Amino acid sequence: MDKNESNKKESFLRIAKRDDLSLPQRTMVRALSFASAIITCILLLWLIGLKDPFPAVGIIFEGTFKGVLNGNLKKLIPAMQATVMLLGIAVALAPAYRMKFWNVGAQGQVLMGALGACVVMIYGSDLPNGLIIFLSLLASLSFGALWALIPAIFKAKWNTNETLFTLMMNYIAIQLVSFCTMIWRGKNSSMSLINSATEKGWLPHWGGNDMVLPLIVVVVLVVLMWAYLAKTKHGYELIVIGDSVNTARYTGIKVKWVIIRTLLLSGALCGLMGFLYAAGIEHKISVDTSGSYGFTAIIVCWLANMNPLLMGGFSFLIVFLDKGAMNLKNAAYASALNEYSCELLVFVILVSIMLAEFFIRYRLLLSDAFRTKLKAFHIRIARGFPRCFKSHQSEAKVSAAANETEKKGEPHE
Amino acid sequence: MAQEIELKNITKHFGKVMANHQISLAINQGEILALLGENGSGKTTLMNMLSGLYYPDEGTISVEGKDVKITSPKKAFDLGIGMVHQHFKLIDTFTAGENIILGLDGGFWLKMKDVNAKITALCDRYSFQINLNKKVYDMSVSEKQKVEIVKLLYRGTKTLILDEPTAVLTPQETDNLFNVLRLMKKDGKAIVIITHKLNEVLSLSDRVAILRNGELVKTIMTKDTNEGDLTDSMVGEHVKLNIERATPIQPRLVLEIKHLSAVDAYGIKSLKDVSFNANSGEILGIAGVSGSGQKALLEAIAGLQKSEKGSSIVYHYDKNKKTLEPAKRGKKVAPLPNQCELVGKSVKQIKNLGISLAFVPEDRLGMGLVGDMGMVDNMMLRSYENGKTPFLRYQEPSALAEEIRQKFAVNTPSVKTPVRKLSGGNVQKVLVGREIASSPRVLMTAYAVRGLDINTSYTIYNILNQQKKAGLCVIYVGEDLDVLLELADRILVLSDGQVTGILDARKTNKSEVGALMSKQK
Repeated sequence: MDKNESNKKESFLRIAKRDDLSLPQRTMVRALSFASAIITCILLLWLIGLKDPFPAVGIIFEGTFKGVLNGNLKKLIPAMQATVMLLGIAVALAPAYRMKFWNVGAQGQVLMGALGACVVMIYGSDLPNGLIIFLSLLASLSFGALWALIPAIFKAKWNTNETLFTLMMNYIAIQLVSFCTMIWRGKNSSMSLINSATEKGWLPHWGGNDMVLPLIVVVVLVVLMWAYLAKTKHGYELIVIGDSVNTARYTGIKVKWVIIRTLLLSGALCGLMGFLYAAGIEHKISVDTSGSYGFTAIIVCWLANMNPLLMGGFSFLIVFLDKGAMNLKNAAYASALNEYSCELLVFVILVSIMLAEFFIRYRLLLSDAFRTKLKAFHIRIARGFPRCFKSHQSEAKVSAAANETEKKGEPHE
Repeated sequence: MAQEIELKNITKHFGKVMANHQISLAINQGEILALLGENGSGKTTLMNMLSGLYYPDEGTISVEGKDVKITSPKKAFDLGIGMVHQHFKLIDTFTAGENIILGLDGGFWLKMKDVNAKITALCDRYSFQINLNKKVYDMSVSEKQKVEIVKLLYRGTKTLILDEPTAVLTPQETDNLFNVLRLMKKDGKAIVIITHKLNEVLSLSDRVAILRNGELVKTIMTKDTNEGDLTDSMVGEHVKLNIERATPIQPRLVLEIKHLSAVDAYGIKSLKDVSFNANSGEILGIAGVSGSGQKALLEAIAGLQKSEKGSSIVYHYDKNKKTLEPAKRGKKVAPLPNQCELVGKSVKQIKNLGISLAFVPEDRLGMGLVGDMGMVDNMMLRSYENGKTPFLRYQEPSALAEEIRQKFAVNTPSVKTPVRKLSGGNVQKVLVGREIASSPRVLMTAYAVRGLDINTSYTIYNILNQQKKAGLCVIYVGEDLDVLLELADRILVLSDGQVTGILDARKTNKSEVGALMSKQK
């Protein structure tokens, strides 16, 4: 007997999983929710006191696309750079999340990866360039992996809460990085570019742009990760563990080893993103190096339902919103718009995206009791209003109908 | 003796299942009432309606002569009814004292000193020993139980309901608990203990109410009854099911279990010195009230449960089979030994030794299958590691899924539909189908027909019988004695982790099995 199911009090709202929506339907849900978000935003702006809120939409759009439409593709670079970082980290998180290991320590793992690269670039500046790059890659991978390995071991051995553990590891990483930068910057107010004269350890700027190499790496990563999760034995094990550790044990999967193996991979990939950023783009390090990508990537990973192939779109969407809000703030388009009201708009849009994904994956069911009540309430209203202008006869009909529905209740869906 | 609570014509359904049917029962002050019955006889459901967890579909409950509606546990407390559940409801990181006052109204400030004094007085009264400043996570099971009881007493509970209170206790702890309960009885409390242990009923209670299949069989004063009488009322008459049963053909020793002991996650011994043999071509039924060690036994054989020192599970290889299949080309194949010790080996090691154990666990979707995966992916659970590449192979599992779907008439829209969407019977067919597909030599099933309708149950019995005829060693853990008596060749009875008897299923009867099930060694 299932004791949960037979609970005497039914809550008026239930959530049930669904996977019966076709692609056009899903697209429809997404489009509708996005449209309603835009409308809500415009309403919000109007409430704040803007007489003409419509240009705001354009300004948000310009945050990413200004100049691009005129053919100046270079204007797209900042947005692409952020998208690549976000996407890479989200992909790195995916295997752990498949296993329901909630790694929120990507921030720290990326920082540690960047730190690893910087250490090699600074202390190995006499080595040949290729060797520096190789060693700093190695350092990044292992620093990132180490930062994920520690919580993984604790989880596997003592079943500690991985969310708290990985979260706290972030702060240790931040402190470590700020300690190192303090040493490296010396008397300067901030760190200068590492090896700025020799450009040793810097990744090649293919096509004259530091974005190209990271972009290629991340795209390759997306495809490989998709294959890893969907096509390999390892990927299969992750889903089994995520579903039930007991089933995994029954199957003979070594759960502890898989946790450690997967977090090593996840952490190393975060480290790789730190490497790409430090050696390929920034050429230095600060506590802000990973921005808040480590946390935002969690949202991306979730929105894409841990599917790497969908992560690119969501990464870009989030970057687009972020840039848009910044642009709106900087445009000084209206004095009423400060940082906070811009953030509010981003919030509205993000919530609408999440709601869309929620309604694609779940349906809400009203309880029978609540439906009956709702129906009765409707009828009571219907009964109340016609009294003003309709005859008593129709009222009697309505109340008869009401009694009937109250008796029968609603058939179960 | 004043009547504290009266239940009148209480009926409770869960979907189609009738958990309680027209039960009328009185609970008196200063009396210990034992509620006796097999698993699923409706004991706990009935008491949950008193403690406010369930609400009866029909019937009335009166407390101290007044009709009441117990709509929540809070309401039950207000009426002086308290229940100690099998799974304690304590907060691990709080101390005993904090747990006891949890959820009570009171002033803004916690006055732990006053509270502790009051609790200590209570404990002295009933000769409880309890350390109020000890955190719950540091406590043994019996200490936690004491905290639960004191919590109820502190709230002024007049009626105490204990659900299988001795299941987790050592004999000494049980004696202590009984002494406390007797003191409470003297103090005028009404006490109900839910149990299936006859010796406890006889030694502790004043009156017994026996439930079977949701109905009250009878209520009798303990002094007017005896063990045999109680067993017969509890298990009832044998109902003929007409399950076919063939005579085992050439039974050969497959599993030889000697002195098997195991400890569960709470440090309680779940198996104590279990020894028996299981043969090919035979169905060995395992009877026992739930939690008597059945799960631990099957999991120990499957390599999922660690066995204690001195345990031995010996697997005897098939004499007709000379080598491990498939023979690897170009390599000299080592001949199979005659036997192999399974204790201390992991699931994978057992598999690699060429020992094919099929296991249909009790928790179908939580252990045997992955609910979110379709049939194809679930077929892979046992075989995904086949093949040398790191990639999954889909052809064989797809073919197998299709084959099982047709052979067992699994009702599913597609072999890719998540199995959690299938009905219980279909889920079980998928699981059993996969397990026998690996052509095992041992097939272990735990509660294989639980929750299934009659037709599907017979399908499962047929499958098991076919496997038996094919020479498998089938181990069937069941709860329905009628089925065990007709399906199994031999019945092993477990009670409290011990083997209390191994019977010839053709010659024994329900009362004999029932008596062994509640026997304490």
